[in-house]
Amino acid sequence: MSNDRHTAEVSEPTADSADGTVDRRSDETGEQAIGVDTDSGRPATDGPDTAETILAVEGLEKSFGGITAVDGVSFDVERGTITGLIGPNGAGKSTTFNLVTGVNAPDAGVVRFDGTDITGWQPDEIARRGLVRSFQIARELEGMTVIENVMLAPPDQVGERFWSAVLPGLRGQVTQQEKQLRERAWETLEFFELDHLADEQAGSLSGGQRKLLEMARVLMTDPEMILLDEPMAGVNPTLEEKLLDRLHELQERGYTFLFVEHDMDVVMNHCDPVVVLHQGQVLAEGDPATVRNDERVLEAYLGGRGPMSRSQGESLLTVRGLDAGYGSLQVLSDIDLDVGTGEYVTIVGPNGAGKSTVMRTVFGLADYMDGEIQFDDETIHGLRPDQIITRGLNYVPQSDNVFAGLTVRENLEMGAYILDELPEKRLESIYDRFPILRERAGQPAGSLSGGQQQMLAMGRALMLDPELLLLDEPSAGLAPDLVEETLDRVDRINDAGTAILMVEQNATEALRRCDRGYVLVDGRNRYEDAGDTLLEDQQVREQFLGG
Amino acid sequence: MTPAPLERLLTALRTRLDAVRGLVGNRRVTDGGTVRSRASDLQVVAGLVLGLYVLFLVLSWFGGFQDAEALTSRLQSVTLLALVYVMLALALNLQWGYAGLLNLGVAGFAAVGVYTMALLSLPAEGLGLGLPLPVGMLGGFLAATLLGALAALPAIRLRADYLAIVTLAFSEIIRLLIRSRPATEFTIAGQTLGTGGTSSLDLPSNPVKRLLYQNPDQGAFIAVENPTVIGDPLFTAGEAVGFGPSLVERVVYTVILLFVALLFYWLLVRVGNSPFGRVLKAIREDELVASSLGKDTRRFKIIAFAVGCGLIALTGMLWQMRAGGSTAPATFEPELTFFVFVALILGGSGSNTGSVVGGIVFVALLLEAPSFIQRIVDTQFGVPSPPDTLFDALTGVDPFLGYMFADDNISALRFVVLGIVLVYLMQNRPEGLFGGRTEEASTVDLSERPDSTEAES
Repeated sequence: MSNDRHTAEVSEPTADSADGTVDRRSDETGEQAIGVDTDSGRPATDGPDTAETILAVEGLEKSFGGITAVDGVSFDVERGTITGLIGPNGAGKSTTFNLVTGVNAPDAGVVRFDGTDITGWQPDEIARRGLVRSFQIARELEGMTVIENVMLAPPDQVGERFWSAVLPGLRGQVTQQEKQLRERAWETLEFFELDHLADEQAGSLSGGQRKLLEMARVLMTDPEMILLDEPMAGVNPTLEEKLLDRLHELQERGYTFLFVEHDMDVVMNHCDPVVVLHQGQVLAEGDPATVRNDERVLEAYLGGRGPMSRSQGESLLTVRGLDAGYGSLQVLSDIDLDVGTGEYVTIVGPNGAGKSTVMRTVFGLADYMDGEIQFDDETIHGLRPDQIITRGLNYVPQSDNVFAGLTVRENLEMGAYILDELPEKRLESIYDRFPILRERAGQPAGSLSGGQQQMLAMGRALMLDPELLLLDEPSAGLAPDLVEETLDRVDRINDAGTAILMVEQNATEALRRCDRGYVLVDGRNRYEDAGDTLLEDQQVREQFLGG
Repeated sequence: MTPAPLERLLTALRTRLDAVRGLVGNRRVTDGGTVRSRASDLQVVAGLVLGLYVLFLVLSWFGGFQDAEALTSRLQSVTLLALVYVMLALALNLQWGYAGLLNLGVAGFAAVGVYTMALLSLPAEGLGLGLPLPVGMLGGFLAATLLGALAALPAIRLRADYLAIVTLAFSEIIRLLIRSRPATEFTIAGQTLGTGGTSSLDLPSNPVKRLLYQNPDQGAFIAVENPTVIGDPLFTAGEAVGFGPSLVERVVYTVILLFVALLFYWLLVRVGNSPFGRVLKAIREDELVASSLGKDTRRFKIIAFAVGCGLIALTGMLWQMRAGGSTAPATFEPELTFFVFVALILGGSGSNTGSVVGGIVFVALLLEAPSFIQRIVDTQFGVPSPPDTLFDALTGVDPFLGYMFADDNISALRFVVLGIVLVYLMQNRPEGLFGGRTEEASTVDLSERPDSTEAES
């Protein structure tokens, strides 16, 4: 593809060489490029003797629409290590994974695997080269049996050639290989304790079992290096122990792992070195202890600081004992939450705590299981989103939240879709609040920058003049100065009388601005207090970086 | 139509099928985790066919066909059409059931095969090149295969729906091209070629004639005077039971087609139950997973699509060449594609045995049975002429139901029934009659556990 250009321009491990290729925010590089720690971070106890780089990522960049997801990421993975890749939500971990494994092509940068430049290769070519990945949300082949899933994976199967599969003379050889593979498949299933499910359709497995199946499948490809995207999510603690033991066992046999994980305990105890991403860049790199004590890392997870406060009116949204999730996967248990009229409430918590799920359940997008959600003294759980918005509640999703192909004005009109007539006055007031939207009224929303898209999404949600606005990480993927600006905008919406329930990655900033905050951990309420009080709480701080 | 009796019928059929499940090679079949008894799918199909034959004999009998020749003739025509749909469904199952490639151009690819063969093998003094028939058929097969690969190439990298759009458009382009004036008859390097335009085109005499007559190109009445060594005893036997030579010819053709259909089934079961089929299934389920495991999904998709198109073309040729065969562009309208999809969905997409059952059931019960029933209505009650006014319709003494089976109403009614059956299936058994089962994609029985590990658990 466009490899030549990339190889020519990027050679330094830091991001600076890729200047000018994409719309990067130059003001933040100065402060964050220093964050690249060159400490080799060789494992102290169980690592190999030689430090040989198996995967080298240099100056990787990728933006989607107006949002820069990965902004000059560089790091090395040494053969035989279990390298952890961590970072707050929206730090660019999954995008980095997709760029390395060929799912997306990078805008700039080079990926070298085992001495070969694999930038821009197709996913299957990269997998055959020995670099295989798992998916964050397990992607089992649900219409196939568990053992078929596993048997699919081994490389270079004779029977994958059409003629070998069909012609009588050649099929004998296929059958022979199939017998060998079947033996390996059963052994692998046994290890992952899936053997009793071998003949089941993979779609009938539980969430944790799907993760295991995915790992089993990856192992069957005989990889040199394995990329695991949140392998422990949804896996029970006993199994998790077992999986981790297996990882170390495989590590000793020479496999290399790079894994994204949000469970800080797992990362800190099992990964070495750890690479920290923040806002699409490498913030820190080193052994777990170093990373953990790095002030910048703590800040990245918590955000900046400073006090402020507001007061609370009568109850508008009441959530009691809420259980919810997706399909059979329960994410939230026993959540209690209140938002008063005109109140500004924030939900913070580590990745995967279920913050977004709270929003989605209130808005009727996630699967409600048990408990109670009341809005304006009316029970709203079980209602569809289109019914809920008529009650004066609206929701701004985290990202991809505008209709990219429609113009700005059309997007705003969509916000008032349920009304028979376009509320012109309302539209004008939104234009007044966000003048840039008036300027760009005729442009397609997809051409706006990330910050402007966020503005548009908020404007659209305000078209029905809601009493309560649900905001899911309004500052995700935005540059620091824009984060400030966006949150200021939320303040102003709140000042105008609209109650806010917001999930925000930038915890400190959010807690500083809000009236009250909730800390969510593992799908449960952990703390609830005024924002400032939570901010000072040492225990709350620790929740973000593992205890 | 009340769903209850249909439900009961389906349940009964299902229980029956369940009782005798299993693929020819002693493959174990699981449904909802229960291990079914091992038996042959062949038995299921044989039982089904037998039952349908009895049904059609009864229907024909009451329809006024009471001598052996007429009965056999009617059964033969149903059987031939059923075999054609079985083969088309099997080929489509490779593309759609296995690989998830939505081919809406079944009719077009069949037309490519038929007309390519005609151009190559029709006599040189007519509209063709005068090449031997096997060359013509090979040409038809290859043309469809190549065109399939070509049509798929740009679309296959995109989302599934693009392939559907491309193939549907392709199919219509082919049909309109065949009908077009310039294609009707044209001359290249002194050789006159043509498709015959909108009118029907006589195809080269089918190979069965060659098998039975020494001079197959003469009219049947003269040709039958000079039968071959194979033809002679067959005609004699036919005469003994009262079958004329043309029926003998058609029966022989149908039997040969049966063997070709068996060959199709054998081939596609082998493709399906192999690592190749496994990758196709994986592509259908989640292409990104397949490629992330190192499979070059494009290669698999193109091969599966091209082979499927070739088989569709082959089926088209064998179908149109049936005794006294001629073809016309009207045969290849998009409804043919739609019918094949209905057959496949009915049987259970993703299952080869399901495709067979679907093809048979579709042709027998949905395509052919209505006209048999109409015939009974005609002969038993006389043809009621449709009433002229609404008043007549409501006050008349004719059996109201009779109108539905009268004249042209039957073909319209067929579509109504087809629609109802489809809606019912989508609501109550979207996986089709045979879709709920698992045909494991491997050359070996995957549930057979190696001994060493069995001891441990």
